[in-house]
Amino acid sequence: MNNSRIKFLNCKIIFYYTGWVIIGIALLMFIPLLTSLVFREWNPVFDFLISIAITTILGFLLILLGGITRDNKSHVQWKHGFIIAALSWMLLTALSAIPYLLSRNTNSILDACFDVMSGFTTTGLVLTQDLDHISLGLNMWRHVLTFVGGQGMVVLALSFLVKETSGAYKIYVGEAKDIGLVPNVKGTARIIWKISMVYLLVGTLALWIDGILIGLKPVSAFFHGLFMFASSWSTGGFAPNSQNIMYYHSFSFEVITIIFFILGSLNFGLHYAIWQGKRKEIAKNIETQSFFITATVASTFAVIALSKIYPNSITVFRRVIYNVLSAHTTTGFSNVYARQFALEWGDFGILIMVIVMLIGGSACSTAGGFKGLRVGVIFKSIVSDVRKLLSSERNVKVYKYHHIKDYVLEDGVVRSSALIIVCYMLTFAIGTAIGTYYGYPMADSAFEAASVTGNVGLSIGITAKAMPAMMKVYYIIAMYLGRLEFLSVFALIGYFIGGVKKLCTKIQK
Amino acid sequence: MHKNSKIISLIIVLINLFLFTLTCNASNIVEINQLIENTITYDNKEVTIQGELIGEALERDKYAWVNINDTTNAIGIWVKQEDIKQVQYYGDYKHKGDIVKVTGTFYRACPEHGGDTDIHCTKIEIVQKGNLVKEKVSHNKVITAAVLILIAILTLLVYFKLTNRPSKKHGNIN
Amino acid sequence: MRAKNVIKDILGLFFELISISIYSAFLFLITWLLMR
Repeated sequence: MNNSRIKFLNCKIIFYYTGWVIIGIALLMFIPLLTSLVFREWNPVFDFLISIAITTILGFLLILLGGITRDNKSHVQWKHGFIIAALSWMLLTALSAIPYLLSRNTNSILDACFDVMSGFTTTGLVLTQDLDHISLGLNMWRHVLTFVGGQGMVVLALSFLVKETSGAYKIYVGEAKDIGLVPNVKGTARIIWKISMVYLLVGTLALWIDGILIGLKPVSAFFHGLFMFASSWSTGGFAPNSQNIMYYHSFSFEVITIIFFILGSLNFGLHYAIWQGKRKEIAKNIETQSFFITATVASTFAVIALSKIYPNSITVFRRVIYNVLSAHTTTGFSNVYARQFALEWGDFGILIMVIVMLIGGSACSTAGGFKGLRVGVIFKSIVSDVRKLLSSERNVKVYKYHHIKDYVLEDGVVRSSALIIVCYMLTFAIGTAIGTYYGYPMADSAFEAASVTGNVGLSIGITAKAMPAMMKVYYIIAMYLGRLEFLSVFALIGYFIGGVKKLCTKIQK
Repeated sequence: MHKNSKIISLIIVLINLFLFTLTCNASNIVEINQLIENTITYDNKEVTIQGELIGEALERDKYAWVNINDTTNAIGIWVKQEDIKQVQYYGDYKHKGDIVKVTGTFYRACPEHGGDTDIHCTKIEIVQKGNLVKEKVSHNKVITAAVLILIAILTLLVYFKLTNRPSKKHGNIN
Repeated sequence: MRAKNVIKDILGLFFELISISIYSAFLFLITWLLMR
């Protein structure tokens, strides 16, 4: 009987926090609602009213079910944290798809969930149809999703809605945002939000002004600026129109997005350190070092490979370097048509893209992929292992790496980095296999699988409404796994299986 | 008689040729997706596409970029501002844009525009005028919204009622 | 004190913007050199 009491409590804790995260999303839905109201788009107004209502009802129901947790929060354990993160994401995906479904811009529930997951995980692949005619409200929702997804919805809810924080840290780690900027979790979450808000202001302003300079009308330039900033900073890759960033036909617009998406792909801890005055961090940090090296090397090879198909240096910078950086930071803006990657870039070009998409950006940022931290750690550990082999056995050298602080290169760190990289590689490999199973060429399948696994968003043409449903399902799962870095999702699955097992043994008795 | 019949046959041939070239131009409309799938083939060639103008015109100096979507794909057209003065509607949520037929040179990676895949327009004509789209909200939607909002408010009230009660004795937690 | 913090933040912001701009310019330089 003790066991069932504990299980009961576990469920309550999970319900309670998940409920609050859901209320957070309901509040966010007011943004597109207000947008549609102002611009008199009546269908979206009702779509969002319905969505807010359903979300609110579910949210408060869960909170009430988790009732006791309000007074007894110290029981939150690591497993709860992971499960809450994973469960929240699943529920939020379903709830956030409601506006899409009601708008009839998506062909099916699966397509709607795909787009939502793509937004939350800041991937950027799109299955929504007729983007050029969707309402401003729905477009606002898409970009809000990607902005919030990048920050972490759980982080959002925790910093503003939940009063008690002792359990909060564990949920926080579950969402792969485990960077302790200041001793308390709420403080850290608030700092992440402050940095993002400041950039939101600066970035939207920059793109707004440039938008007007390149010919957009003032009001639309504002929305384009806002949306494109949200997409850049979150390294999402959504754009308000079907041509993605090609719609603007502008070098200056592209350059501004480069700056913001690279910044968005950097670790929040790095931003905080630099804003505190520790400017050397930008050069000393293992992740920035890793990124600058891999990005420069990849760009160089890409330029060499593709200089034949583009006429001059500005063209090469815009069509090659831009896309390599977009891929490496896992943003997903593309100023080349998807099919052009397949038809013009050649296998070597595609290979470079696959590699940088998998490496990805920095840990605890909006980017995806293995993360520069792990790549750097693995690289350093290989170097240190080789050195240990070559040096005399009496020489005990301690190897270190710098990431905000100095850390010793311990076996534990190396092991966990390697394990997560293996998980990413497996997810990528399975994605590639599924693509080839359905008849897509190997290079194309690999490209799309890397884009999905690394939450990038560049497409080589495979992602389309006619894509096999199985592939859509797998891509949704892969985006989800990649963004939450596997552990939360495994914990959720494990918990679920554990619960089912216990239920089965109970029934047998 | 011979001379007349020769002239008549010549005229008939000329008329046929004329009609032939007319219809030839009409059937030369290429889908934008076709262009994208065959960029190397169409590079630097004159093409004709037809589609809806979307978004807005981005005016730059004496020229402008307009984007056209023909449901297969969308592409940017570099066109003289004076040529698009007649355009009334650009497509978005509330409008169906003018449908235009554009003839121009297609570039796979336009050197003038930093590698843009675009069409430099030589001729543009409005094939069908666009219009304002009237929005209709279905009654079902309004009713569903009203009902759900009511339930939501009720849930909120229940929540506040329950959480404002003094906490029960903790010993009874099961 | 608060003003000092705000100034710190702004300096940090500008530092980041400029650093990344420099990196982008660096990549453009590489491109230009390779394309010659």
